[in-house]
Amino acid sequence: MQLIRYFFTVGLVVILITAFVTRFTNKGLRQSHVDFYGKMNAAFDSTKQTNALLVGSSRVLVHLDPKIIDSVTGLNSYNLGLNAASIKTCFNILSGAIKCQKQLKVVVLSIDYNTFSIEQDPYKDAYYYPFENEGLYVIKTDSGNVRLVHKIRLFDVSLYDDYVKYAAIDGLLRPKRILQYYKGYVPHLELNDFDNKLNSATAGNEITYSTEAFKILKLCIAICKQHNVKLIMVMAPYFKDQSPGKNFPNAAEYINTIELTAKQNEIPFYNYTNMSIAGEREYFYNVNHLNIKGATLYTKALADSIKKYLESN
Amino acid sequence: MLLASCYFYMAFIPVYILILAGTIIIDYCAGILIENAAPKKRKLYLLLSIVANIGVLAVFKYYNFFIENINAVASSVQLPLLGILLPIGLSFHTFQALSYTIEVYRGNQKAERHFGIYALYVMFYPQLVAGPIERPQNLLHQFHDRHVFNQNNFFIGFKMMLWGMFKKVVIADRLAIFVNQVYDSPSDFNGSMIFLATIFFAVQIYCDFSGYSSIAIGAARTMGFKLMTNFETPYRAKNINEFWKRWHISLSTWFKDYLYISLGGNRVSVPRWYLNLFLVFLISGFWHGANWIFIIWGALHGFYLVFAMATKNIKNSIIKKIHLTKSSSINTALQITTTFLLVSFAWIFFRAKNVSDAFYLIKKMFSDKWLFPEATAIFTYFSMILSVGLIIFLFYAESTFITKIIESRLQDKKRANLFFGIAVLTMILLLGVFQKLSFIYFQF
Repeated sequence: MQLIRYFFTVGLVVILITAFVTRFTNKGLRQSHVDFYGKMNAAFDSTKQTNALLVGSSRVLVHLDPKIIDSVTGLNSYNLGLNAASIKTCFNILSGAIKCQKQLKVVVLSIDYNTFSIEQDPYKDAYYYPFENEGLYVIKTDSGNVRLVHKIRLFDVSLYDDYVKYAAIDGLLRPKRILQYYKGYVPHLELNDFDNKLNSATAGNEITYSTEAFKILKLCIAICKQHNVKLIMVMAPYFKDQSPGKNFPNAAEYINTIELTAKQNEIPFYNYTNMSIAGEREYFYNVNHLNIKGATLYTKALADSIKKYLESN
Repeated sequence: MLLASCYFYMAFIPVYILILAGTIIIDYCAGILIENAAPKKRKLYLLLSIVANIGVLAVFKYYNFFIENINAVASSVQLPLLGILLPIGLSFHTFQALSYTIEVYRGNQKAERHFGIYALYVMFYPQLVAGPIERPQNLLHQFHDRHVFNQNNFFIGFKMMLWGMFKKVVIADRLAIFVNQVYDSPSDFNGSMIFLATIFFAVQIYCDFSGYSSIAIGAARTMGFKLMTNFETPYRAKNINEFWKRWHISLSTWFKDYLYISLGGNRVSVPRWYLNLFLVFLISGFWHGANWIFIIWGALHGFYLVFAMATKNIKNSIIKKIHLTKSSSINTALQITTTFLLVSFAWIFFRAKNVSDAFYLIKKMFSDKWLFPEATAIFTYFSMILSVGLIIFLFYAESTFITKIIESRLQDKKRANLFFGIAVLTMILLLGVFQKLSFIYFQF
């Protein structure tokens, strides 16, 4: 009897403490301004409406300046770029954001050589998507389900890495911290880091893109159509050593496939891989990323294209 | 319980139970034969038992190692390797079985007549996989005793298991994230990061192995069986000799009782004594794994010990000269720190993937610039601070109140038990790292 009473008391108190901590972890995450979480919380706050979302990997994060896009197009844009995000994460972000941003008009989806390598996407189950506030969202793919969670459940706190705990604590302690960068844009302020990165260019590798990954692209197209949002696909410049044909033997074929998909779905695809600055080292931080000077030029060029497209449609 | 042990063993590779059954039958018969035989024949039966046990160990654990080395040295000869997996807990239950026949031979233990009980002695599932390596005098008689549910035993066992779980999932597996990252690609990290990873590994392996031992001892205790203690705050040791009296006690006492003493112990000439010590540690290293890294690890500990013995007088005279009393807290702190650093240094060989990696790590650690440790993508500063906090808590708790709480020796034991259960379980649930990482010593 004594033992039963002990286990009952311990169990009850542990459940209460865990529930309390889980609740505050969720609250902290929703208030967090720590990079990934801060960015998502700002973008998925329905009180802060935007009408253009810039979605993609670091090549959106460090390339697209919402200030320039806004001034050229008259839109109110937000940079939702995430390091190493594949089409899977892009879709997850898009599907969550589109529900919160009721005034959304345009989505710019940036495609890279890695966009369709979904198996390399780091945003797996153990990442928290505080913006997913409408319950579990499940994407069905050929290989199974890609699970997202909208909030941490009781007893699940330990399943998330320490960074989640840190973000939650930060959110609880500093809920009113101001984001360091404007509308999610984090440019490379240093001019270049070529010596470190040039050697690591993936010479000779084939770009991997599966039918499964392209199915997710079609889901992105479908969700935009469903919400009457214009989707624009772009490809940012690569430094010349990384441009089509130099490093990736199947780059041209890859770009053709994207062009074809865009054409079939009547979506504009702006390919800037061979933009004039692509041969100029002074505009690049490394082979994959522009520095702030290059990013400014690229954003201007893209903003002009968006403006023209919106005017003609 | 024997059936449960068989089921547990067969969960890995079922057919291996036949090998285990073979050695159990041999040792069971050997025990009875040794007891009944004339003095001359007793040795023969003991030898038979040793050959059978070591033979199995040699085939499964060491054959490939020797063949690989022969093939590497004599390039013209290419002997075939065996494509077999190491049976689970082989090194542990082999040593446990050997201790039985040796003790019967020495007359310290009566031969077990009940085959089932003897089989259970070898296969007792809580300690089958990674010890503690029991002695027949402690364990065999417990199988003859009638066990009824005892609330006190159950409770002590439960608390031991909980504490072991805490050490494994909250500390060892958290530190493993960083240690694995550094040791898997050492070229990506600077000297201070390698140093930090080495210190973290020292704590990781302690929490991993002592965590397992606590779970094993606790599981046995819930059923009323008392297994021997395997760890006694080893990083509080003031010298290497003391460290081995506190670390993996069941193995170090096994080597002391059955190898060191058989070699003559310290009742021989000084050089021979040193050689005995060195040999014991060399073999202990080899016991851990058929790999040069373990041999070097063992040899390094042997060297530490012999060096400490040989320079004892010099050390004492230095302490005297600088007016440090032996029991002063500065001297104690110095001794504990030095021992910990020496042990941690040796762990580099234990953890490295191979000998060249180990030397690369050492070279990088001492030649690289020591910059402030950087956070990595998967091990942030928050993780580092949390880990250090947990380590401090662990060492403080183990040197002050944990044993008292577990054994219900505190005055207000009701409150202490309640606090312990709530705190440890909450920490496991909130701070545990559940990555299904195996226990390090399972590989041996």
